[in-house]
Amino acid sequence: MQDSHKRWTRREFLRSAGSLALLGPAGASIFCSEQPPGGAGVALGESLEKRVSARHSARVVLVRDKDVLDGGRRPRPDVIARMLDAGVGELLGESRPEAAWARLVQPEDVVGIKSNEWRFLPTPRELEHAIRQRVLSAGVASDRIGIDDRGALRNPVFHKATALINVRPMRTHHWAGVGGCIKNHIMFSPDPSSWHPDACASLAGLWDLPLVKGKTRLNVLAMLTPLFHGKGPHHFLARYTWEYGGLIVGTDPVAVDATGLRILEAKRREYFGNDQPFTVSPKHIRMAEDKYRLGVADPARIEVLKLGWTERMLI
Amino acid sequence: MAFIRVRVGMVRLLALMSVLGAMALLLVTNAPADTPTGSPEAATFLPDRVHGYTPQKEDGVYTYDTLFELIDGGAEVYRSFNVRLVVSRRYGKPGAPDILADIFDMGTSQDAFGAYHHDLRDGKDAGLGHESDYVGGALYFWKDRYFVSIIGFDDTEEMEQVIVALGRDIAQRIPNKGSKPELLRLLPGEGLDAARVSYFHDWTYLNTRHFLADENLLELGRDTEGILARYRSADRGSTEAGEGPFLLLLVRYSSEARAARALDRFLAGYLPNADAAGVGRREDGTWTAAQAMGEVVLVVLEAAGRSGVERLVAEVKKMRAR
Repeated sequence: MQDSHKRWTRREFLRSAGSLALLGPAGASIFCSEQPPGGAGVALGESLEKRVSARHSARVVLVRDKDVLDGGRRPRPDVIARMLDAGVGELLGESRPEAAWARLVQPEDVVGIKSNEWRFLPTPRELEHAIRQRVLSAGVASDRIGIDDRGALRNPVFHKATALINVRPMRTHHWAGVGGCIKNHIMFSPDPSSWHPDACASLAGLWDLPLVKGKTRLNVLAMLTPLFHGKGPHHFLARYTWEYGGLIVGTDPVAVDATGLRILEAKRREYFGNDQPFTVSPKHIRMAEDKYRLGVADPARIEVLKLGWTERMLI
Repeated sequence: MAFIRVRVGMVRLLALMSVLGAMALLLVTNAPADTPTGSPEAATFLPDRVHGYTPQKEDGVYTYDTLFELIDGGAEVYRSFNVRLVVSRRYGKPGAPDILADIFDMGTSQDAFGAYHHDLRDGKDAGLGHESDYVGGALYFWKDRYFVSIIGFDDTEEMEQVIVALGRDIAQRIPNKGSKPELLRLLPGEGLDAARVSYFHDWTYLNTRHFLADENLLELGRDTEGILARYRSADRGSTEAGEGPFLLLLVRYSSEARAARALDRFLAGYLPNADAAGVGRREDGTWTAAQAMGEVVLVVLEAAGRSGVERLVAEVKKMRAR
């Protein structure tokens, strides 16, 4: 697998000469190693219509900060915003966050920020706010931005959305093994439980729903305090979370989830002392590539660019 | 005056009957025709006070259909075990983290066992109910047809004392003990990973434990019950090459005829090359066996060698004959 480390300095927003070589026009090579048709004029969202082949590779950015969480495990707003900027900037090869976000969304877009409000580990408000501020900075009017989860199907902004920003924390899940960016679009389905058979293997099919298809411009998987093991009806014990202090950003939801999964697996090995299998196999991530061609699940073909805090990175 | 007292009493009685009637109507009309319903007896098991903790708000009461409102994606698990009713109470005490207590009326003690064993049970035994498990500020146990979950929003010795006291109080209020699924009696003990025995009814749930096929090859449904057990080859003194854990699946049907039909379908779909004894080798090199023992179908999966399979089948048959 391909991992790159970057020293976390005050100049962390600047990209290295090495990473520049990996970027093509309009950020197309972020998602796959082939150039999309249309060249530099192609909006990033459009490139997501392409399905991956076995030749494709993907890139994600893992950014961590040991000071992102305060004593109450709440993210510090300024730190989380800086992490988001660093991650997106590195992903798109832009030194200025405004320029990076201008490549993700345009003023004429209607943007739905698809969040997650699971009561025990919701998307932090501070992260939602940071994303919203960057969407505003790209020139999108505030009445054209919505943040929602379970109400997405009833939310008029999401019905009119031309762009989605997909954000949620990483955790284990009762029925899918893990809940990550692929699964986060389940609330666009009028019957979420219909996706449960076979350990939710078909979750990548959510990305073909009319309200979703081709719209997701960015995936942000919060790894601040991930849940690596679930137990009981509520599937949550604080003991099974830890302060990892990270964000994984990428345009490929499968690669983002696959990277988050590697971190959970490593944490479980550390905690249980063996390769303790998940209660339910998170097979939907692999299926997302093998059957649905939604993205890259094979770690050997995912480049993980790492920024910031390196201690106990686990991968 | 006596007339007035009788009249007031009748008004109150009529009001109570109206409330009870509405509750009954709610329970009935909220559930599809074939959806189980339960009694509110579970609410009486929750004490009003424990170590200074008292209820913080009105109890939540959830049915088979509304359980999603309490546990969102996790409701499917308990619905597969025919959950009837859940009573949820939040306890609080000034200056202390809250405690969330949920009592699941699963309808039968076998389904309460199944609900309890959905999770890996690797915590310490708190000595409550039929089986109990304490870890990290949370206590789980089952007794009779009830599965109980108590979660403290903290993980300290003090919280553990309160949670266990609450659990003990609840357990004492549940009058009967109940019994484990009869199928467990057929499990050989040698090499059994007791923390990872699963009980199930339907194919979807079984597939989450161990994926067999998209198609319901064993014709599982609400009227069938099954056990999936994991065995450690090394602990069985196995000398087979490529040792690793293997699986034993037992399913009970309503009749021998149904079991026979399910067996035929399973062999045709999963092990078409099985010999007359129902033993065969899969494409991955592992061995599988499937046989019917009256109304019970036995399946051994992912064994490294034929002799291990045959030995386990013989042991199960011996257990059944006892």
